[in-house]
Amino acid sequence: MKTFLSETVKELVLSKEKFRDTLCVLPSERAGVFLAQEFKKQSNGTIFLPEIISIEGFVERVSEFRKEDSVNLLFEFYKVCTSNHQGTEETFDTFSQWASVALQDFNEVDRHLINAIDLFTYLRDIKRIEKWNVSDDNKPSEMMENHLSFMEKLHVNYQKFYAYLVSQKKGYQGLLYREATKKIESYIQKNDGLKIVFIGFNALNKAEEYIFQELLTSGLATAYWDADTYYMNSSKSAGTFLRKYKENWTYYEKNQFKFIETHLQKDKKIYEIAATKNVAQIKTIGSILEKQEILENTALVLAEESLLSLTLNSLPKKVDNLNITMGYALADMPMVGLFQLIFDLYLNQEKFGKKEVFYHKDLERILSHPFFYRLFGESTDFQQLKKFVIQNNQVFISVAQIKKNLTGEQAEKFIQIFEIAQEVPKFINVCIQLIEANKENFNGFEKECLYRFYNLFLQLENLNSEYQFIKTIKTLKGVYQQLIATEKLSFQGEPLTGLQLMGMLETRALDFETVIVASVNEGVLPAGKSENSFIPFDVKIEYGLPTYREKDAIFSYHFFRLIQRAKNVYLLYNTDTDDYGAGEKSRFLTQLEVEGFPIQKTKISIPVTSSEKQKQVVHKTPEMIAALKAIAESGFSPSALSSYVSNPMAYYKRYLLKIKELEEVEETIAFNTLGTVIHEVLEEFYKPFVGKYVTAEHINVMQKNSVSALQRSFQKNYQNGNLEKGKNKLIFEVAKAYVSNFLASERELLMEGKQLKIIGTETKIKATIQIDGLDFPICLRGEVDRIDELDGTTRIVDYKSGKVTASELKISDFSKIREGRKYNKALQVMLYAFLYSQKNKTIFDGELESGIFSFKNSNEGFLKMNFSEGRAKADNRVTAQRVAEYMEVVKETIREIFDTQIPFEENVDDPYT
Amino acid sequence: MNQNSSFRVYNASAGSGKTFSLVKEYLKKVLETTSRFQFQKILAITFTNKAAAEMKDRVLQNLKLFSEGFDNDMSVLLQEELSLDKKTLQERSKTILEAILQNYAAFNITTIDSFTHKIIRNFAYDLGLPLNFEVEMDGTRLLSEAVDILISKIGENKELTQILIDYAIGKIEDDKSWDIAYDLNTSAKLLLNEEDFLQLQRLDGKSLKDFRTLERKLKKKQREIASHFSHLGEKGSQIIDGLDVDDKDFVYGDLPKFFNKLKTFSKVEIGKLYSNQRLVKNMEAGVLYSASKSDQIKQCIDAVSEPLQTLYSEIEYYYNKEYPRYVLSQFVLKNLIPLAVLKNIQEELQTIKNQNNICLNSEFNQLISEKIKDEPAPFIYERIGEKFQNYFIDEMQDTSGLQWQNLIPLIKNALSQEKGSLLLVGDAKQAIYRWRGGKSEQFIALYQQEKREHNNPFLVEKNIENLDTNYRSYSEIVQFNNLFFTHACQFFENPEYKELYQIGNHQKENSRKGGYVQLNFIPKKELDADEKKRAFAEHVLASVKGLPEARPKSDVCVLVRSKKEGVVISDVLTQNGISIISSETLLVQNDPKVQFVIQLLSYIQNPLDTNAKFLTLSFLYQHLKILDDEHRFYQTFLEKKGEAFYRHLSSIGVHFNCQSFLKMPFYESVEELMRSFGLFEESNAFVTCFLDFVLEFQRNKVANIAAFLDYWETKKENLSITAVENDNAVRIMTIHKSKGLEFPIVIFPCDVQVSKEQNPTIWYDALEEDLFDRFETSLVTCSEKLSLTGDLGAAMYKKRNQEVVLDNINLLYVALTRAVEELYVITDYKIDAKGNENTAWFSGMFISYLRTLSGENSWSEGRLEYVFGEKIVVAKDQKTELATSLEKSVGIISSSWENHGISIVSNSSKNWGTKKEEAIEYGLLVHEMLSKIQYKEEATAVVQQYILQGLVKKEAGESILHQLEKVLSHPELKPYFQKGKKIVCERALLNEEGQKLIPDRLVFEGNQVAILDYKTGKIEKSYRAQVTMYADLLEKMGYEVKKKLLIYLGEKIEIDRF
Ligand code: SF4
Repeated sequence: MKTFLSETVKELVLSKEKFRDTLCVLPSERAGVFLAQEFKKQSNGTIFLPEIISIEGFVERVSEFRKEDSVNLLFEFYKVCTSNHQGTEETFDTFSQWASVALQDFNEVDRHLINAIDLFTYLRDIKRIEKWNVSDDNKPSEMMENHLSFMEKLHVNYQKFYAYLVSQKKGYQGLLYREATKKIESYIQKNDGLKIVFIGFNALNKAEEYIFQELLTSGLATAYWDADTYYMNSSKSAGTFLRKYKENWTYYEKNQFKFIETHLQKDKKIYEIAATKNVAQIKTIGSILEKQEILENTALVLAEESLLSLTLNSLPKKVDNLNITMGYALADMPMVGLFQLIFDLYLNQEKFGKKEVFYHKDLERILSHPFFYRLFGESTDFQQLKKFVIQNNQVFISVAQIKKNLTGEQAEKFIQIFEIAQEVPKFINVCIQLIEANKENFNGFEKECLYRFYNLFLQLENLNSEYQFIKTIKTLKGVYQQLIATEKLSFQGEPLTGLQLMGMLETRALDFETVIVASVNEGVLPAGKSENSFIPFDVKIEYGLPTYREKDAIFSYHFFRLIQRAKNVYLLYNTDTDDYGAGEKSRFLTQLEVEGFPIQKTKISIPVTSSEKQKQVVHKTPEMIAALKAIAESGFSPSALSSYVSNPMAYYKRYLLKIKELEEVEETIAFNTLGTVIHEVLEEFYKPFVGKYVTAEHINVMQKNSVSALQRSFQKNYQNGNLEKGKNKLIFEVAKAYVSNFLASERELLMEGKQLKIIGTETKIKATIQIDGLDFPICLRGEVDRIDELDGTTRIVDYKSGKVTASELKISDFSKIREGRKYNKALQVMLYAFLYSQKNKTIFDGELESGIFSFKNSNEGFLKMNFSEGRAKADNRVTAQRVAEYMEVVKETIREIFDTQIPFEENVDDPYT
Repeated sequence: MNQNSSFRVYNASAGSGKTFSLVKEYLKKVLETTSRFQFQKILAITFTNKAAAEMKDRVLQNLKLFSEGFDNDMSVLLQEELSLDKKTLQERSKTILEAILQNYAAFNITTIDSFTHKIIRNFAYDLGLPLNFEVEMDGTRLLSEAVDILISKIGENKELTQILIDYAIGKIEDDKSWDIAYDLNTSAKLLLNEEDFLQLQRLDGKSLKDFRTLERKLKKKQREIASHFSHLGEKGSQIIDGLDVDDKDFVYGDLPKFFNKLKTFSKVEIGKLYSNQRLVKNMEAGVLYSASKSDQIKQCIDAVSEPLQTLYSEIEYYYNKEYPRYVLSQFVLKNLIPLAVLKNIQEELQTIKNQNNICLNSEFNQLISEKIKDEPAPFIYERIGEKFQNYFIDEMQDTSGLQWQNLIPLIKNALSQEKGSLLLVGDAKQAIYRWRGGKSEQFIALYQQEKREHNNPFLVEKNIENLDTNYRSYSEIVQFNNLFFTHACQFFENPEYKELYQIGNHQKENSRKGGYVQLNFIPKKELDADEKKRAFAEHVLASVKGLPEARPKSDVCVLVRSKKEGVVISDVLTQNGISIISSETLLVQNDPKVQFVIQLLSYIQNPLDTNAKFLTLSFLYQHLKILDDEHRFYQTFLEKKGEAFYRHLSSIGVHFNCQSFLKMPFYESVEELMRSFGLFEESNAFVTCFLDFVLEFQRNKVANIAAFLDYWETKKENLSITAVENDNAVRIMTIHKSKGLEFPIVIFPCDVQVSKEQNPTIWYDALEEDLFDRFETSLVTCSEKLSLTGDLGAAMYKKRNQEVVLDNINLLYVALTRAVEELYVITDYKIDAKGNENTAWFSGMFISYLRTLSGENSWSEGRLEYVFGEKIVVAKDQKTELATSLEKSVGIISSSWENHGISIVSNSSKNWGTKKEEAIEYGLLVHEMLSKIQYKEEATAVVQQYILQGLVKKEAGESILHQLEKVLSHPELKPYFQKGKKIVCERALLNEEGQKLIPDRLVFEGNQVAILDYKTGKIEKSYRAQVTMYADLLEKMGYEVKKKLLIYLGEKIEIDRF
């Protein structure tokens, strides 16, 4: 295949040169590899490979200045800006916000050789206000004033900074460009005999235009462009720049403009493929590749580089040769998490306004991070600390506590992570040490990652010792993130054969027979108007600075150039609209269509083949029956039965597989704990009265003791938890109110003259029952919170901290208990009634009631079982007959549990599964 | 004022071809001039991204068509209205199309949100916002984080602690949940709503303490009032008790009861004090006892009649004077405390936003209104880099107050220019977004003719046009809706709303005649709530089943008010074998494979999470069709912990390495996981959508399992796949979602109480200064009882009530106007014992409408079905036409990149580690630096550069430099590093075979060359061969090789020369 580079080299080798003094300047590094390859292919005889450099490198060389990288530049800029201000220094954080935008503007201004003084003078000039329609009597608004004075600030700082950088012989790219134009003449003089070849350029900035022309006219340089008549001979934006050079440069009055060819509108197949979202898009590319016979000379272009990891997992097996020009973002590597967590540890400390203590979640996250685990997981210290964190229910854990748990040898290694105390140098240092201490535990690309982090923290250390502007961990993180954003890991593959996976910019000057481009969407290709700049659009136009229009034209050229020599072009775009309005197909696709290119359109839709969710089922085996028998012997508890009627599968999990609830840090007192505490306190209060009558006076004493009793109980059930702060404080107050309200209502009863006698508290009862057809012992057991006698009526009372409604205890047909969760509470209190009657061999001579006292709706008082039908008057009497009827249902339930024909089956209607 | 400018308002009822007209006007604007760049001066604002995309597409497609010389309805109209001939139209279209495509960024058809976002971005610095802020759409998520932080601070700030705890305890006393987070979250949402925010600003100056003081004061006032009422009651009782008559001797015992009620005043429900009308009437008439009482009793009572009457009117007087205050205080108190801490929540929110560089989408309009709007338009235009002359605004009725206020200055400026224009298009009947800030009253005012500021904020005359033809529905449906909604206007009290429905429902029919409307009433008096829902669903099923075979199910859309309502209908339809598409069925979280991945990730993250482990096993049991019995399977795997578990998976054919899983970037690891478990065997939209979600997560966040699982929890409720259109499934959709869409058949099961609203609140912004401590406004519950606070309250309630009625009737309007061919309305047979309907409900409105009809569809009691027109006959093969559209499915290809012969380069770290390796590294480094040094002077700069880049530790700089110096200053080598010579470093030589050879350093002097190559270690003669090869090549090229030097870089520099 004839490519632009092969044509260019063909021309160059015609000269029979040795190329020792030839310098090829290219728009991208990638193109250099292909250019060298062409030389290898086409050279005959021994030659030097010409020196191949990028335009940036070339400019650096001409300017004799060193290019400063962006982070260092920012620090330098800060230094210069703050050098003679006193007092009102802005922090590096806020500074870097606007400064990076300002630097971009400076860069543009310089690259385009704009008279900066002129421009900035205009920008801060009061005359601008006139354009804004401010009538004479009106003063300019505060915002305008601020705007102008900010412009003045830019003006001053630009001049200061420029002078400073020149004195240091370094600068940002634009500065290098401007300086290079000043030095180009002497460069030409010094480099007699040098042959410069510019290959494959398109959009040049003013400085480049100047340098190119100077070099071309001096005879030192030649240039090869890659143009197609389609956009050269029309007003298409793709040709904006090349047309201009061809027409305006005096050099081209006499010299030929090479090359302008006609490929675009020649035979090629173009496929436009619409896909919903990225995965569909890239997976479709996978199947396109699968269908390709040869993958040689094929480029897969990711206009959105963040799709790399997806793409890497979507190539068919047949791709055996692959080259990837894009790097894998270091920020995507899992190791980032480790440092992120250390940052979080301190940033959240700050957020919660704490010192010397850490948020338990951050600590937990660090301790469960895979890297941490790998590094320290084996040490007993680590395990001990982790256990401590999980079991201690503390929201904030102090450094001292951590240290106390780290005593072993290994501890040294990571104890320092907790000793940073918001100090920036220490933070950096700890990270470096952590990395150094562990470098031998990694290998392969993980070691490479670690090494990159090592570099990164060394860089931070240097920056910080050099400038000392990083005052807080937050600032540090900002700088860290800026550094990490540009870090990429590169791939090793087949550089020149096989499938080429690349970003849009790397395609410059390259040609492929088959081109597949992903994300041909507005906002990506072209990237659209997202530029941040302080120079208004109109002013840019006036001064000849590029705007988004030029940027769009550049994309346009890249796009059309890329497909011009290709035979097969697959253009995929994402149709999914997100919140920000993506999902619009690129104008380039519309252009192709309007221009009458033959396009085959396809829409990808992935079938909605959701596998029906199947019910979980477990069939009973003899092994399970045996286990159930053992359970029966020790007794079915009310919660076991409730669990079974609500969802047999839940019962199976809980009682046969013994799957328990997860043990986690109770950041705030859990619901269960609240319940337990209130139960305990009430037991403590009432236990001494078993068999006795309680008086209002007694209750008063209880009221008095309630706070201390609660505190004691909380200490016991909620280890070391802090009751003074946060939600816990709230919950503690709630518990207080619950107990106090309960006691108050008891007191009210007693004041009315009622007689209250306590019969039992937290009474455990177990009873054996016979079930027809089951010839083994079966027990039921339960623990009744309180049994008392109120004016002669025996009451079985269950305390609940959750909400209970009267309807949950209203049941006339007990078989409803088996229908699910709704009557769980009735099931429970009835079972208590049964157990009580068994224990006392009660013949139900007196009145018996069974029910619940709910703290959450304490105004309702004691809620009793109600057996009446429909709207009839409440009937709360628990009678022998009712208990018997109820027990029939319980027995039926137990029979079912043992029925081998009925499997444990998930109840999908149960809301809690 | 400019004569050439125009301001037009289009009133566009449902189906009136609104988009067509909008596109037409847009095209007119660009085609009327010869300037090809006219389009850059137009800003068209739509409500959704989708609408913007559609409008863009329609404009481009039309221009393309015209430029190719084709005609359509549009071109005919355009030629006529612009009086252009076909050829000119064609030419202009061509140049404009080209101009748009080549300057696409200036093709401004966008949403109001995008536009405001753009303004904010451009003013970010001026507003003190972070320049690179990210927009957060989901403000509620941040708010709940802010609330959590606030709660975590209980115990730190005394004032705050007290207020929150008192609030919680107060809730307990009312038997409500003590969990204040819910209440705080609810009120925090006010911060996101522009109308509420404006009110909140009026409370800016109030501190927590002020709120507390007010609370105490109001409570005290309440107690005072209550106790005075009790006292009065007491007084009354005393009078009566002193008599020797029974309470019943008064008429029905009313008066004594009344006094007793007063005694327990604080327990009497609001508004129930005078609930006994009989008493009121009797007291007015001075009747204390019934005529049948004995004389003695009459005498007895007469004796105290006067003091009783006086007391009664004293009570009445006191009631009139103080009761409104009592009620209002009560209302204010109810919402006061959550309001009090709002500012604290806002502070926490601000901190969160600052920390994460976030701006909330919802605050943009606020910011513009406060800080930017009043700047002169040219200044704003300059800053945003665009200047518009023509504005098109679609869906004007859903535009919020601030959105419109913010646009007015820009538009004013545009209209003051030559040929400025504004076109507003909307339909107040389709305003259903009040809860999102949409203010339909604004549009109602704008389409009214009278001249007032809010009718026309501009100096340009306004033209109002009604788009009066319905192009959507068949004639029966148009007719039904016209008549029904005209009838419905009587249910409004607000005259503007009434008028809206009066003028808006004279739609003309289009050419499609026929169509079908069916009204069904479901008798369901006896049923409980769940059963009622089910009865509706059953009827939907019956309607679907009643459709002819040939009718594709995808023609049918069932409209519901809320997602929840849709669930029952989905269940019933699916249980009966009808496939459906609803937001629920499209939810990714319901897919078993996705659930499996989540569970497995949870287990990997926390190996103690046995429940998650069980769920993954339960999926695998089915997915892999395990033959072993379930119990044994579960037990075996549950027993295996950690690595052993993953290893044991191979016994069921799954090869999953958890260690390597954790080393990969997150997205890759998830895909690897899914691959290992065979989840890609068939393509599945849920699975790919889930992967998209994972990818998106990795792109935006630092990705790890824990963070992912948290993120998933917050997003899973809303993550759904896009419905595939071509599907034989009935759609179930909320009315809100259906807006702007149409369906051949619409089924609408509904019965709604038109004035009902969930937990309505309103700002009472005329609080009495003295009593309310100069609080200007407060949030109160909006119920009819608000009228008890006085005329103002009554007016407020009425206004709000009417708004709610409008919103609900609008919903009904939107629902009924979606149908093209057939419309089925299913509603409640709700009539009282007397056979009267209740027109406060949709059902009653329908019945009331049917009553007005004569003939066969006239209402008759007991009849449950009413039918208009005839069902449309569907051609048999109508369906196949759709299926041929180009659609194909992809199988999911997934494989690891390591299969393709690539690896990640790890050169730089290869020699980083052991001492020995570091020595090598050091050697290589020196070697590398030497290759970068042309002349001696550059050494320091090169080393410096390495340090800056973090490649060399600062401390090591000295020693490296020293090492370099050894070479550079070596007496024998020195000359090769001096200026003036032609140096070639690390350049390749190509031999005849095209092979590359790279000598480290060539130093030329004229035609003579010296070759320098660096080595480490001891002198090895074998290295010489390589250098000799270089020499051969150079000589072949015609250079004379003067020197060949091998330089050994060690403690001491050794040189092998030959
Ligand atoms: S007649 Fe007079 S004194 Fe006798 S009971 Fe009646 S009110 Fe009292």
